[in-house]
Amino acid sequence: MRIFQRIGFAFLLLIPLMGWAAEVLSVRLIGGEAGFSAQVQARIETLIRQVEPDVNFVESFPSASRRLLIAIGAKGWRTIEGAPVDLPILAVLPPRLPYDLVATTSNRPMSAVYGDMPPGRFFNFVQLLSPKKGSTVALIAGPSLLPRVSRFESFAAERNMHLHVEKIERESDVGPAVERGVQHASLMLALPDPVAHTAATVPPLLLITYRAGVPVVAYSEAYLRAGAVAALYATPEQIAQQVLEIVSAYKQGKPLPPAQTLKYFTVGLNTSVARSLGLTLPPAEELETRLRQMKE
Amino acid sequence: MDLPDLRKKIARFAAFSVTGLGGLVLPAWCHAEDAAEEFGELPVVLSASRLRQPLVEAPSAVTVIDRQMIEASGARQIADLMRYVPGAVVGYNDGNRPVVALQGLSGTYASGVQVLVDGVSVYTPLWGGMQWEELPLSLDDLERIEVIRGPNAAVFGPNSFAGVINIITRYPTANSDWKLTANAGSRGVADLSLSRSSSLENGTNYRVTFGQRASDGFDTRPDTQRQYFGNFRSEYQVDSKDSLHFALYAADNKKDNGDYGSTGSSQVPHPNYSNKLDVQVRWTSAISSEEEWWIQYYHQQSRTTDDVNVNYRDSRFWTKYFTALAALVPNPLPYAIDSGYETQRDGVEYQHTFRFNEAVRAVYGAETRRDLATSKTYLGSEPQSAILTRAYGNFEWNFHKDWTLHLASMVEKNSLADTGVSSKLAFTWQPIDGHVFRLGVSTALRTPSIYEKRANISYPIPASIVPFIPASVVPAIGGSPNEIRVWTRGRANNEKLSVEEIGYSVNFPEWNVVGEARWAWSHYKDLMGVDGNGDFYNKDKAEVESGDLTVKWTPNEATMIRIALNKTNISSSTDPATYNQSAPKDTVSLLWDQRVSYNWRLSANYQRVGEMHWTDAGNTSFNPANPIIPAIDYLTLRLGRRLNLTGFSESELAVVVQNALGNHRDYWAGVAANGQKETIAPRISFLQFVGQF
Repeated sequence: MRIFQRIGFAFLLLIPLMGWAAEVLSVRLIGGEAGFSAQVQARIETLIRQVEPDVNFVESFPSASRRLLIAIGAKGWRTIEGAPVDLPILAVLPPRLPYDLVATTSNRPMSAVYGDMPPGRFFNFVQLLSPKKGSTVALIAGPSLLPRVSRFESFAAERNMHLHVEKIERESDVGPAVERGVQHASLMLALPDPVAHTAATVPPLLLITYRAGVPVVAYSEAYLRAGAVAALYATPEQIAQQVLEIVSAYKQGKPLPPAQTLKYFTVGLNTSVARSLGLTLPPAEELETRLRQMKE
Repeated sequence: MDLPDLRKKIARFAAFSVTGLGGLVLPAWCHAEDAAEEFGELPVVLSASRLRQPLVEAPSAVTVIDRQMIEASGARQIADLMRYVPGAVVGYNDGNRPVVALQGLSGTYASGVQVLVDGVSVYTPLWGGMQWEELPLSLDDLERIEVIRGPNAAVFGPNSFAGVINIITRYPTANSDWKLTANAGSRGVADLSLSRSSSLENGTNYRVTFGQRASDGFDTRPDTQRQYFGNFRSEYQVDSKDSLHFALYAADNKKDNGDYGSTGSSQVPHPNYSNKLDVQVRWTSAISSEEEWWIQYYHQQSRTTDDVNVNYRDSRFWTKYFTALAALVPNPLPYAIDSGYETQRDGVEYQHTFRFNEAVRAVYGAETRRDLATSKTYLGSEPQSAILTRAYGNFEWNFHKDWTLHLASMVEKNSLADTGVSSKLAFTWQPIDGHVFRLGVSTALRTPSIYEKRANISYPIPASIVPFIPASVVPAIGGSPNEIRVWTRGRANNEKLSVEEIGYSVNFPEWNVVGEARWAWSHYKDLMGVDGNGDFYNKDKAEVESGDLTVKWTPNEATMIRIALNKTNISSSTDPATYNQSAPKDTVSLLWDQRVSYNWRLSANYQRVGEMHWTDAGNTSFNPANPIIPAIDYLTLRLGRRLNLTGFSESELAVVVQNALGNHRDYWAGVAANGQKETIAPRISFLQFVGQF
């Protein structure tokens, strides 16, 4: 009898495992082939393997499994075009306008981690760096930022700042727009925009603003190294952490959440540029702590 | 051909130039088609060599001429922008030959000024001075000009004596795709500049500019000029650290020279042709914003064809025997002296900037270059060269929160002069934020130019100076087969300068006011002079005391007011007649730039230059009757109206009136034989169109 009891107990133990096996989550990562996308993809895979070891990483989805396609960057986003309409998708750092268009016009289960921070956080950051009331902040806005400009203006107004927006349509508009912007503003805010901030536009933007004595506050670590005085950005690890949280919840059976802005952040300061511009800034850790306490 | 076709063709040419000339067929890394790459790698733009001390804390007095000042200036020539610099004098030797002197003691080839374009010396190797009218740059190509007032040889190399003029061109993609500027107006003003900025698939950013500068100059001089120029600049980012800068400049000039009213003058009106080609290649490795090294190679070459038509009546034979007759008869037999010359400069320079720690920053570097000049008339039959090798170091130590020590030194070995050392020691003290006091001493050398060291002037004269008289007889009657012959014995050596200066810089951000004052005592020694045989040697001393004040006020976004004042006093114990009034005692520069409304912009740019004379315009004892150029009031007005032209992202039409207060004598104090004053600078008015598309 005891042997049957043991077999029965073992069988009972196996049932949930069999159930799990039936509902194992298969994840496919695409898009992160080079540069920052590759770093983000590598971190996501590493973190999920560590925390959710039973997630199955696949190149093509098996027929009987819960599936999730994690598409990284614009390249990843482009590859989903031919994907089955019922395939759930988590887009990480997708191009915002195309994503929003698809998300609002299709029934596909999908979610995204945008490359943006909540704008309130950026304006809090600017406020901490430039506490003078009534100061003017310049923003170069390409087509993808334009729809949100009025929101940005109210965020700025709530913090006693004036936002001077220079609208641009193409890369070659950026230089003249920056020239105009620095005449009005004491600080330039760079928010992710695939037209306004590229390898062709960032050098003249940083040179013109630097020579006008106008510091640039930017959105990436690379921008900070290039010459922004301060940046608010998410590291690949922080983006991976946010993705992990979505994947874990999804794995537990929850639906994909609505698209999210970047949740975790790092404050970076370029002390060389700050020194050269004659600016004294609080330590990055202090700024991070204060930002976490502020309402976004 | 319609405009889009033309655009495409020029764009194709530009692309061809990039790949062909720069050899930039390297793999791309930075073409960010992936939106996630917005977060990816970017080049270090504000690299160690671009980051400087905050201007108020700089160890030298620096005047910055930025884009706003360039646009408001109403200038056609880069030299005219120097009117903003306190104490600087811009004199027009003729209507198309500007001369810039920063602290007097200067003639046509003001040679104690280092002029750099993106870090490469562009003054002429033969004369040692700057030929501003030949610079193949449009004002649209300029980002800014930094003028260091006072010597800074330890950092900027030879010729950084009375000052350094550092011309910085715009980053290639800082302009719109296309930019067109055109001036047309009185005195034959016909300028055009068209530039194209773009990026290639491999991430190379480039700008190419073609243009023309033309005017008839002054009425009173034969000085019509037409220059065609082109320049190209590309920046190729090899990876996030390394980049390749390539620049090419070319110009073709035709300019009239000489004097009207030829009796008594050896130069009857004649055209002068010149062309030049400059190339610069620089590899930069920007490891971080604190460390960077670069290495550059540059090549410059120029050729000037100047067949000076000499009037026979000026020959010694006629002036010796038939002075009275010479004035009555027509020129019996004109002949041309080949006064042309060719120059070439090749150099390599390495510089490394880094920071030891929070408090200490250092720059060191080395350069070697060869200058070569050829001129049958001025230098004899052999090409003459100058080999320069220098090593330098610059050290900044922020040893106390309020204090910084600046120490710089350069050792320079030059085949034209003794090996010498130039140094600078300065302290800056910032007791309160925005208020900086500066105390500095510096020494500098000016090496002689090839002409000063190696002049070997001979005017070969045809068979005879007088028709029908055999050449062999000529010496016997007072002529010479070589009418003029001067052979410098090579005595010229370094000119020496030591300067003590105090300075104060202030920044009141809440009032939008920045200001700067400097007082300096300069001791010049061994200044170059000429003996009775025309031989250059170091002979003179001069003491220069000068003080200046610059204040810039931007009360609101629409208004900018700037004032720059200077007082200079020169005293020479060895040659007071030449030097004591070679700088104006007072200069004033005023700029008012006003955006009257969204569409209208008015600027007024005024300069007053006290009475003075140029050292080669006849010294005060030489021409006692009329030695001094009276004080000059030079006002330029510009009124611009923004247009909304279809096809242009921005466009403006402006009326510019240069020298609005009317005629004044410029540069030469002399009076021509026909009684007409020789250089009368007239009012020049033109329409200016600026369009970006």
